[in-house]
Amino acid sequence: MDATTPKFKRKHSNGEKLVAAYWVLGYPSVKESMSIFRTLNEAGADIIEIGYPYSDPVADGETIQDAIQKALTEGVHLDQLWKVSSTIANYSDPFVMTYGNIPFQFGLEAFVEKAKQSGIAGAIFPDLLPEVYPNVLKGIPPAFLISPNTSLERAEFIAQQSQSFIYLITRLGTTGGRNFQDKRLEKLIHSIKSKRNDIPLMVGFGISSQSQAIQAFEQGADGIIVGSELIKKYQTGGKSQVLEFVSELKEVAAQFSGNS
Amino acid sequence: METIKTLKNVPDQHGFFGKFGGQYAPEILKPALDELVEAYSRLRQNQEFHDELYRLNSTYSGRPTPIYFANRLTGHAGGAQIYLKREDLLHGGAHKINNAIGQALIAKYLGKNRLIAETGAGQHGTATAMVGALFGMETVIYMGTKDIERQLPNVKRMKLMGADVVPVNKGSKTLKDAVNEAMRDWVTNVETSHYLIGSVVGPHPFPMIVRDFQSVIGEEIKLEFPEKYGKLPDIVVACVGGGSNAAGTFYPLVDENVDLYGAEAGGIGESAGNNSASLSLGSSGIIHGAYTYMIQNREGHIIPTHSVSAGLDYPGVGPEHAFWKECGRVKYLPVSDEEALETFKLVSKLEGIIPALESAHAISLALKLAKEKSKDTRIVVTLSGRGDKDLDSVLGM
Ligand SMILES: Cc1ncc(COP(=O)(O)O)c(C=O)c1O
Repeated sequence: MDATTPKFKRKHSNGEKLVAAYWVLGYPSVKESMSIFRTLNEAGADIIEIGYPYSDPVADGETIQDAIQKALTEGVHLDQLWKVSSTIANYSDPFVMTYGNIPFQFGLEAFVEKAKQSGIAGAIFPDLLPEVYPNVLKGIPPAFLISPNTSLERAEFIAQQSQSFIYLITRLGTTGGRNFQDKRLEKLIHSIKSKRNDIPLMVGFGISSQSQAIQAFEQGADGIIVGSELIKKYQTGGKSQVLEFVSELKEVAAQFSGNS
Repeated sequence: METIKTLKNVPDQHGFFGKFGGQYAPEILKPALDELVEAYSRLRQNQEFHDELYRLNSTYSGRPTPIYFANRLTGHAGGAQIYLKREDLLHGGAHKINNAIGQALIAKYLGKNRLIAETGAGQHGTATAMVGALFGMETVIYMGTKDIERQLPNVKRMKLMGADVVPVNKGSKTLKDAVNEAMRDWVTNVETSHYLIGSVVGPHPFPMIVRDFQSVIGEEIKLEFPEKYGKLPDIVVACVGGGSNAAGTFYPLVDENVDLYGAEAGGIGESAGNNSASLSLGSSGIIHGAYTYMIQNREGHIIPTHSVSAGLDYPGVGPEHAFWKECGRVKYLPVSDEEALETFKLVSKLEGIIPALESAHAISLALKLAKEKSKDTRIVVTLSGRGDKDLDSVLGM
């Protein structure tokens, strides 16, 4: 661990449990999304995932799809991604989450270069499996996804490939809240953590309440990821609801910190 | 070591045709894709599977299809002889049934009792509804609301045969969005469902599986043509949407001395958004699980396409076509809406055969080629489907 080690990794090695918050850049407008990223900072999100809109987000559920659609009509572009990451990097750790064709068209090397300059601490491309993930792109530490139907053997392989965090999906399907698949999940968590513990194991794709967060931590997760639920909260109660929910999750995380 | 000159031993074990293809898909699908790779490699060796496929192809679909010498069309062009490979005579009216039967059989062997499919023109949806009924499987078809409007007769057919047609009201409300929805359904129900993809697109192993089931088209040409005419045709032409009828036509012939041409939807112009000609007018990128050619903007977002023919109105294309394009084996050329419509009417009048608008693109290109060739040159065109479904959209114009 040195001066360039991102904050979230230090926290993890200190036994702190983490909260990652996802928001779509450009939703509901570019300006408002910038302000929401600030809100996520204020609420203490340890990792802020900047969802960069893609025209065909196959791994996303209804709520995020609609937000992405709206963001695209708002005319979002990559310069805004670099800008917002640089700002976030002062407080928290920005991650970029988008689809593979975006860096492919930008140019992989140029994308990595820009991301580094903007303080981006990690990248999530839900359609780039480790098998097809270009080496150059690993210049931004990748977070690979593991799903409930991934075999234990493959889960270990994916965990080894990940360099920022390990992203465990809690249910079959796209992003958005629904059921946990308890037994299978617990087994996966233990199996992964017994093999790799230097980077956090983050659980996401279904967290919509404090009790689900508690459950995830009880099962051994190092952190949780919220996305769709934040958008829903915003739609019903605005930024203050987003702030409140992330703060609540941070409290839950704090309760579990230090006893990993 | 001497290199064996064949283009047939693709894809490699990771699903790549040269640099194209692969699996650019969410992790959730990986177990299902692996399962499919494994099941297919087993079934490929299974005689019972082949026997059942053969039996259904001949007794249910109506194979083999004839190769017809289009005498008046040939006279009209005034050059090379034009032959039509009559996939339009198949049950359901298009080549789509070749693939649907094969994949339904795979689903059966995998113990999956629910079929998911996307459809644009409704031809693949119809073929899937047919095999859903044939095998007694639950069938769910995703279709863009814009396509539902322009292909209503097919929607009625699908429903009559027991399929659930789910309207997709997202994005451009056409085929690409239907594919996205079908993938999302598969991601959610992957343990009980098989995604019966309709063309040589998607992540590995779909492009290979669909190509193999459609290859019966090219195999029949390869068998029948030399028997009747002493040698293989000089030129073979097929239309390319996703590219399944073309891949099935070309693949058995790629190592032979035959010139191969793919006709793409040139629409109303060369600028992005006015056509669906991914190979001749697009660029390379990732779409629907594969690295291939596609229609996209500078940042990489998929751009909605245009074609008068719903079956060609798709922004991607099978990765094997991208491979054939790059190694120069197949030439891909755009054919405009106007040319296709003109050919649609011409073939109807001269031959008493109403071609699908998709297939009219191929015949149009064949007519252009025929005009430049001598009378002893033989051109076979795959007539991928019949045009009854297009009457409203053509005559209403
Ligand atoms: C008659 C016909 N031909 C061609 C196509 C295009 O598909 P592909 O390029 O996969 O053969 C379609 C698609 O619906 C079709 O219905």
